[in-house]
Amino acid sequence: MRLPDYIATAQTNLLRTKVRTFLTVLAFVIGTFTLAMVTAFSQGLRSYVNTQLNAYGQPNVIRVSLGSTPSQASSSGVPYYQSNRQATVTGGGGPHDGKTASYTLGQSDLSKVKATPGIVAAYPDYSTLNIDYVQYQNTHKYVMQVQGAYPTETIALSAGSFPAANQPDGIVIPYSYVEAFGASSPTQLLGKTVSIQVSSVQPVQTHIYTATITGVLPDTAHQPAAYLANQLIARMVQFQTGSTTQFSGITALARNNVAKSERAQIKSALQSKGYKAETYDDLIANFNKPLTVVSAGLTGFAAIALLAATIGIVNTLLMAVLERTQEIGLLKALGMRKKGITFIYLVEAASIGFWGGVIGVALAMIVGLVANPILNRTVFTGIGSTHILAYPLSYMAGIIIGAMIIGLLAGTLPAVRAGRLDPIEALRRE
Amino acid sequence: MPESKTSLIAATDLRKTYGKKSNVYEALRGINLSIKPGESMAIVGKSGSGKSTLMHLLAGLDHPSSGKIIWNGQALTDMNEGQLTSLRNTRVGFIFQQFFLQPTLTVMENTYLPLKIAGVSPGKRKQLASEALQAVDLLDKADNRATDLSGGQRQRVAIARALINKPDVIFADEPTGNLDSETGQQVINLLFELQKKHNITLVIVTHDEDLAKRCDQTINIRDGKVVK
Ligand SMILES: Nc1ncnc2c1ncn2[C@@H]1O[C@H](COP(=O)(O)OP(=O)(O)O)[C@@H](O)[C@H]1O
Ligand SMILES: [Mg+2]
Repeated sequence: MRLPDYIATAQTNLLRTKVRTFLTVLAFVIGTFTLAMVTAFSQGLRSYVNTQLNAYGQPNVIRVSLGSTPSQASSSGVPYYQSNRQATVTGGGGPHDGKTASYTLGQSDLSKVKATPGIVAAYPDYSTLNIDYVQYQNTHKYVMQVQGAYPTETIALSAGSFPAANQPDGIVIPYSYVEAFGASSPTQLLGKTVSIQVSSVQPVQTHIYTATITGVLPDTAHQPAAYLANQLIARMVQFQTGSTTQFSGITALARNNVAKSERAQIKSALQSKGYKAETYDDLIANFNKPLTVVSAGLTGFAAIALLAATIGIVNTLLMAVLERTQEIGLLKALGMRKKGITFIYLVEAASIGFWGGVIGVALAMIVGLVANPILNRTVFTGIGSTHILAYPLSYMAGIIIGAMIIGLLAGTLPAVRAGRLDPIEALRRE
Repeated sequence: MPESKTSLIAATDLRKTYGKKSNVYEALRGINLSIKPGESMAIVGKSGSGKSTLMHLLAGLDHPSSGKIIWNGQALTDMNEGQLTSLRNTRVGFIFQQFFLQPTLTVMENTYLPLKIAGVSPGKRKQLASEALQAVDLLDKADNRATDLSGGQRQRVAIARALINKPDVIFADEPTGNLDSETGQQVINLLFELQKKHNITLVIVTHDEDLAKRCDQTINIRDGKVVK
């Protein structure tokens, strides 16, 4: 027979026992639907997490803080005290009001980090700066988290750009401040100025700085801190702490498009110098680890459902072979070979898998069509039009092909049995 | 001894035993026969005498326990599964007592089943099936389900199916067994008419003496042996 004849014969055969075929396919649908939903959810969540993370960290940014030197290593993992390295009490007016100790880095650390192979630039991390408020024209005064903006920031903004070298008072505001400032769109705020008040404790005094909005961050669920031009934030830190030579962290930059393996090398180089380094990969891994575990667990459930479906196929086809003994005998008498008969039943088994896969994936996609807008309105607000349930075509095709392969494997036993039927026995049966 | 040079099918000392050890049953006990091209042969005998068994062996559907079958100078016993199925597909037509039409297929689809198995293109097989159905006067039923037909009509479809591959031999196992005598008569008349027209060799298993008399040669079987 020709391949289209095999396929047509298999479909005709499946339609002969509609209820039985329906139930067998249904068992498959449960498995493939679950699998498609798990895939949709983990894929969607992964891209959601990635867009969220991209507002925080760039692949070439490495956060450096004080770690332990190899000589401090203890068997418990808690580093030994070393008088020349550890906690210096920050000067008055610091972020912790001088009462708590914080690990401090200085200019020498900055030069050491800069000298590390693979690092192209390093800046003091001023994210310990606390501002009092930010105000736009005559709107309310709002609190705001701030951090320094570095020359290579590559986050895709919803409007504008990062402060250029000739914009020493630039600020990139988080998306939610657009509404807070009473603006109808991000672009409306570009070029406008805001007032930022900073206070110091010793001596107690306040100062108001003026910053010009150069950009607006993307609309992500969790808003990161605003980015201030490095010169502006340095002036603020100088005012608040009386010094810009001590800081709790260093933001080091590798070249753009730095490879993952390179990042790992830089990380270990920094660690051997006694620093703690957090790369983009650490950030991603922290978020993706639980996701991977959960989706692996759910995939396991789907696999069990598919296993049950497999038993259904074996059962259905064994029954079919038994019922169609005479027909198989006739086909053999008329000149169909063993392997032709076997192939008919393999195609039938693969068809059950195919329909189970197609229906399961289609149902899952319908669920996505209905659920995505609802999820965006309720649970995952503030992510714009990013879909929580994503259906990459290659994955969905993979599920359907996988279901066909499972069907084929399950169909092997009945199909081989059909091929081996003795035509005489089959024809003698009344 | 059968003369293998002029015969289409020649069998020598055919034996067939069923079962094993204590359960052995000898269905055929040394059959010799020879069929010439275009000849008609009746195999007659009581029920259980071994007629169907003999027919299955001659048609290459089953293997003898011992003995030889020569088809056109070639021994069936030397052929493998592929050669035997190909022989049945291209050179043999079958007609059974129970018709064995597929209930899921139309009359047309049932008719071209051997061609479909052979991998003939849809256009070609439909054309040949139309011709075959025309020959048995059932072209108007081509799109009906086989189950919609009467017994006589079903057996005529089976004849069309047996003819479609332009076979050398048609094997008919009690073709009138499920038909009333009048319908059976019509079916047999049609079968002989087409056999003469296309010069096909015909082997009919039957226990109808009148039918046997119409054949060129009759073989009478009792307890697995040929009797005079
Ligand atoms: N598979 C088998 N196992 C055992 N005995 C069989 C088998 N097939 C046929 N027989 C026996 O062989 C004998 C001949 O059968 P068969 O050729 O069908 O007879 P007929 O067609 O003349 O009625 C019968 O007695 C039957 O019971
Ligand atoms: Mg019989």
